[in-house]
Amino acid sequence: MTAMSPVPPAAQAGRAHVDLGRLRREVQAFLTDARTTGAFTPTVDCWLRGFDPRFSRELAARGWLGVTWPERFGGRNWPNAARFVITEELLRFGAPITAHWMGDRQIGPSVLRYGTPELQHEFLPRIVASEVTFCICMSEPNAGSDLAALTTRAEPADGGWLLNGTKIWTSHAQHASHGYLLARTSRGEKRHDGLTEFIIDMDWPGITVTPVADMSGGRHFNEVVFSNVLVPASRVLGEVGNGWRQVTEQLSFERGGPERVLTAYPLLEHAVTQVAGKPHLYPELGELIARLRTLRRMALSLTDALDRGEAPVQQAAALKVVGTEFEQRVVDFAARALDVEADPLGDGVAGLLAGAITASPGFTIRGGSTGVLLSILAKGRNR
Amino acid sequence: MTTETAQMLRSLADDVFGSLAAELRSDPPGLGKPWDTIRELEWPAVGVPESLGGAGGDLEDVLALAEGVGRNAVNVPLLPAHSAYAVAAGGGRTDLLDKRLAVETQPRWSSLRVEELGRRLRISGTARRTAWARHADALLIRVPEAAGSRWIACDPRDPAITITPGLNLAGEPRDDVLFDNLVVGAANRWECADGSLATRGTLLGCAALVGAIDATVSLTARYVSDREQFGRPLMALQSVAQAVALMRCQLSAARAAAEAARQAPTVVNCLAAHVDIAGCAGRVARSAHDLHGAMGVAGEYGLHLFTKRLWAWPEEGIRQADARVELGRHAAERGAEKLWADVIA
Repeated sequence: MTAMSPVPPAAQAGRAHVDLGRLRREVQAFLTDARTTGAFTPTVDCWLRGFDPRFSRELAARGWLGVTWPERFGGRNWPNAARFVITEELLRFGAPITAHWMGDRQIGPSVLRYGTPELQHEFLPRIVASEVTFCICMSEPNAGSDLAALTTRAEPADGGWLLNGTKIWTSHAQHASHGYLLARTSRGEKRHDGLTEFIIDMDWPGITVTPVADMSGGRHFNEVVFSNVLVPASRVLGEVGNGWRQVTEQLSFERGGPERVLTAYPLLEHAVTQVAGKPHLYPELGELIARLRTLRRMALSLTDALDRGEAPVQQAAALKVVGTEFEQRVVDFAARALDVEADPLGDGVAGLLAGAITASPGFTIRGGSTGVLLSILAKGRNR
Repeated sequence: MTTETAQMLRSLADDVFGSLAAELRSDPPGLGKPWDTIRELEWPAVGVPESLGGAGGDLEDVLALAEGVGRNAVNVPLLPAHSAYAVAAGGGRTDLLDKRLAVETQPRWSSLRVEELGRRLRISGTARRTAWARHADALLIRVPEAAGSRWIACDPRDPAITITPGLNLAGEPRDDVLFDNLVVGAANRWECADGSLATRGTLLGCAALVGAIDATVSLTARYVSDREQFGRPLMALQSVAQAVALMRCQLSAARAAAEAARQAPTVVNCLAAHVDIAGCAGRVARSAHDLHGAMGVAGEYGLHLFTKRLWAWPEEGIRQADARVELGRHAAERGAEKLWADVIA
């Protein structure tokens, strides 16, 4: 694992001052109101299963997307701590944020870091306005944890690249206007060489999206087949052949956020409500709350590291390992503490619990499985 | 001293404790030259304002020293001495700061009866598991009825006091102190309203545990890198490398927990940090011994110096089982509405 390259000077320049307490109160007031009026119903795993473009545009209208990006791209040059406040409030409310999530969290920062000025001007303002929605085309049928084994090929063609291959487990590809895609552009001695990142339009000819139901019947996964899809040269993200290094950096954005701690938080609130009068459950609840405080501090420290331009690849991996384990413990605890049984058809908390249980295996898999992350941590510092 | 000195103190503590290690690990523990060295450095008085007779510096500095105690597994009464200093200084009892060693009794393990005899007090009962009592020149007792702000000092050599030596798992003195109708004059009681002292001991304990976890992880990583089995270093086995990586994750978590408590040291927050760090300590100790094999339990190899502390310290002062119940009850009583505000406080 290479260290992250320095943050571009534009992103590192003096950040605007933000009154974080006030920002938090504004976000809380908005979310409380939206929840009360039924604009959303809190869910578990809301950043992967809460696809609601209208809600995302509401957030965009308030200026809460892409807040750390330079103002010339529609951002606000806010510190990462401000984005942390916004995202952790959205997550703990269980708000539907999937539609803008991938763009705001990782594709925007990647474009900012590696994109040409043309790509930056084309996409960053539209992510900020929630006019575009991204899906992530990384995994393939034979390249999951071993991402470098991918076989989707992009070959030089007139005006760009010709794309052929199959991606799978692509969440919300059926709704996304655009996709991020990692493909092989050459085959050298080292398998990590010769990979290249692309930004694609999902409505280009030759792209076929087929839903893959998950075990709860949910329809966020897809298989995406690319058959002679022509990708203009301008849509290469970063350097041809440098995709591995770029994607591992992107994954550190993906791994180190509060969503690796708070995915099941709405369920924890229900459990706290229903634990009253059940003292035998207090010790376990106490342990969970203690750990939650710790994990939040770890995530917050990562945010500070990003602002300082540091390379928190290792810390991000560590947070994901312990944070997602906590999320699964919350679900297990809720299943024992709540007064209802999980019911996929149930209203309210019974349905919430059912959704949480079936979503929970994914917590420690997506974004790098715990085993892979521990290997990354081991390689980073084996002595 | 200032906040910036914490980093310097951290490395200085490693140097000093490291150089004193052999003497400090003598058994049974005494208060020899190492303690005089530490006193000359004024470390027991760090974190106590100079205006009150202390050495100055802030909480971060004290915690840096506490972490050093854990990371070097040194058998010195620095943490109890610091707590006693802070209580004495907070009550204007600067005379007690000149004692070679003052320690306080633990309310958790005390069953003491304190009666008023006019202006004097009569104390009877037992203060169990008092740290380093046998070596103390002054014993401080928090009067239980006075909501934690009233203190008494007494001379442990008084004939009305009997001290029975004991040890914790790590070989640190934890003595039972029997008070047989000890009478204390009015001059030896005082009020200390400093609320931060209530959580100080917990924070110190958290920092010391973080230090011991740190040392355990380092020692284990070094051992599996050097030790060869199956024709290669143990670290080359994926399961071993992953177990070490997981230990590092626990160390990161423990550090974050301690830092969260330091920044908002309410009683509940400190309790939460203690519970979470105790969990990390237990997991790290188990993993360290697993990875060391038989060598880990060998008397002459150093691992047990750390793991015994990881086992002993979490249960001192407050029982983990009680702390977990307390945290859970607090959350349940505050309710879901206040949960988030409490978590980010």
